[in-house]
Amino acid sequence: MPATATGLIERAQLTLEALHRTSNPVTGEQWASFDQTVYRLLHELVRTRTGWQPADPQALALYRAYRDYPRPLQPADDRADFSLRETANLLGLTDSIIRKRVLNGTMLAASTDAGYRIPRSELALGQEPRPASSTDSPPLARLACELGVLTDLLVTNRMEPSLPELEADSAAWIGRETLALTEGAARRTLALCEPEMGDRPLTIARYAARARNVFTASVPPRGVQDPAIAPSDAYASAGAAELSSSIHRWARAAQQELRAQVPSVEVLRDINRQGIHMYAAVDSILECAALEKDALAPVHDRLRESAQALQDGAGAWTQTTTGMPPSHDYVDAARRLYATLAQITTSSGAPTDPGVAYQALLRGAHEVAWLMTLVTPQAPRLLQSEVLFIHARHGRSDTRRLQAVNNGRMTVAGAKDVPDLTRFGWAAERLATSMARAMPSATAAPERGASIYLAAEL
Amino acid sequence: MSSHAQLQDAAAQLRCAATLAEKRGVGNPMDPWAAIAGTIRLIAAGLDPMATSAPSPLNDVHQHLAAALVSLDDVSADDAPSDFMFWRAHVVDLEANAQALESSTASTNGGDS
Repeated sequence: MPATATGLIERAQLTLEALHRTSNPVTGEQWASFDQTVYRLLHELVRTRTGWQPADPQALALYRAYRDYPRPLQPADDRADFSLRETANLLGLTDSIIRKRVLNGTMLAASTDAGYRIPRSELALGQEPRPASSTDSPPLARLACELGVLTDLLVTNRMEPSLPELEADSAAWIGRETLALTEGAARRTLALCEPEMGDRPLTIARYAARARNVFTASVPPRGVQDPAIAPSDAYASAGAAELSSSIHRWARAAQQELRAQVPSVEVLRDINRQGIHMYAAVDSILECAALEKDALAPVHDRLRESAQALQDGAGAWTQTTTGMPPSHDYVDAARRLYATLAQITTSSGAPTDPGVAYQALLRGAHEVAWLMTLVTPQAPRLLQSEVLFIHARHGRSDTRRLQAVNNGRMTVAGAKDVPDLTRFGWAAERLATSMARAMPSATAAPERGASIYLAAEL
Repeated sequence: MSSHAQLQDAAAQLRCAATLAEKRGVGNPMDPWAAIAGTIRLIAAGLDPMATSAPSPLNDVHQHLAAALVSLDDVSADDAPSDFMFWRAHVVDLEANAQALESSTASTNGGDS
C-alpha cells in the first residue's frame, strides 16, 4: 500500500521509541537536521491550510506553533527577502531592533507598500543543515527523514490539482502529532548529547510542550484527507493495491493525452467511461457492504445520475473524430484499469479489503472530476481550430455537403453539427465534481471484510 | 483487400461488437457490458480513428470480435503498421474479457433463477 500521512506519523512514533532505547550519542548535525525538518513541516502545514475560519482554535494553534518556533536555523523556503518580523525571528532579535538597524542604514532593506523587505543576504545565516537521508541509521536521523518525507508528501499533494486541499482539522492533527514527536525527541536528545549543545534541544522541548497543549483533541485524517504517496508499479499486486496503482497510472496517462495539441476523441470519451466504471465499482462495493437498503438507495441514485451525465457527455462526441488514435500508453493504462474494475463490477469476486478499495475509488472519483475539467474545454477548442470532423451524413443538413453525404465522407464539424457537445460536457463536469465531493470521505471497516459505514450525507 | 482496408474492417467489426455490447447493457451505463463496449471502442479507434462503419450480418459480440481477429490476421506482414502487434494483442485480450464477462453474467443469471 502507498504510504500515507498517518502511516508516516505511526512510523515516526516507532522511531521515537527506538531513540528512547538507544544510548548512542546524538551529534549536533543530527539535531540541526531534525530541528530544521520540523520547522519546514510546520511551515508546510500552515501553507496548505484551507477552510480556516478566523476564530478556528485549531487553525490558530497551528499558526502560532509555526510563528513562535524559536529562532529557526534557516528559513523554511527559498524566498529572496523577508519582512521585519520574519527577519527578527530568524535572527533572534526583536522587531524594533531590526527596524532601528534599517532606519540607521546598518541593514539593507527595500521599502514597499507592504513595509520593509530585507534581502536574504542581510541575514548572514549559517550553513543549511544537511537533510537526513533514508540511508542514515541513527534514530534521530531516521525520525528527521520520516518527517521530511511527510513534508514532501504534503507539498506533492498541495500541487496535485485533482486532490482536495488539506482541511484545518487534518492539518491540526498532523501538527499536534509532530509537536508531540518533537518534544519526545528533544527530551531524549538532552540525555544523549554533549552538554554544550543542550541549549537548543531544551528550548525546543519547552516550546513543543507548550505549543502542542494549545491544540484541542482531534481525530486522524482519513480517506482523501490522509495524503498518500502515489503508488508506483512496484506496488502492483492483487486487490486494492492493484486498483490504486491502476487508477493512478490511468489518470497520469489521461493527463498526458489531454496535453496533446490534437487529442484522440476516443480518449475524451473514454475518460467519461472509465469514470462510469469507477462509479459502478463503488456501487458494487457498497452493495456488498451490509448496509440497510434505505441507506444505500440515495447513494445508488446519485451514482447512477452522475454515471448518466458522464454517459451523455461521452455520447455527445459520437460520430466525431480528430483522426488521432489513442496513444499506446493510454490504451495500456485504460485496459489495465478496465480489468481491475471488472473484477469488482462482475460477480467474479468482491475485493478482499473493501475499505481500502473504496479509498482507491474515492481518489479515482476525484481524478475523474479533475480530468473532466480538462475534457470540457476541448470541445470549443477543437471546434474553433476546425480539427474536429464528423460524418457528413450525421452533421446538420446542408446542400453544400450533399456530395460529401453521398460519398460517405467526413467534413469539418461546426457547433451546429454537435449541438449537445458543450452542454453535456458541462453537465458531466458538474456532476462528476459534485459526486466526488459528495462521496463519503471517511469510511471504516471495523473488521476485515466487514461493513463499510457511510460517514457523510449524500 | 489492402492492409489498410483490412484494418478498417477490423475496426468496423469492433464497433459493431461495441454496439451489441451496449445493447446488452440495456441502457444502464453502469452495466458491465456498457464498460466493455467502451474499451472495445477504444481499441477500434486505435486501428482506425476515422470511425468507419460497415453493415454486418453478425448479431453477437463474440462473433464480431472473432471476425475482427480474422481481418487482422489477413493483414500482410509487409504492409502491417509498426504497432500492429500491439493492437492485435489487445483485440485478443478483448475476446478473453468478453468471454469472462459472458461466463460471469451466465453464472449470475443462473444464480438468480
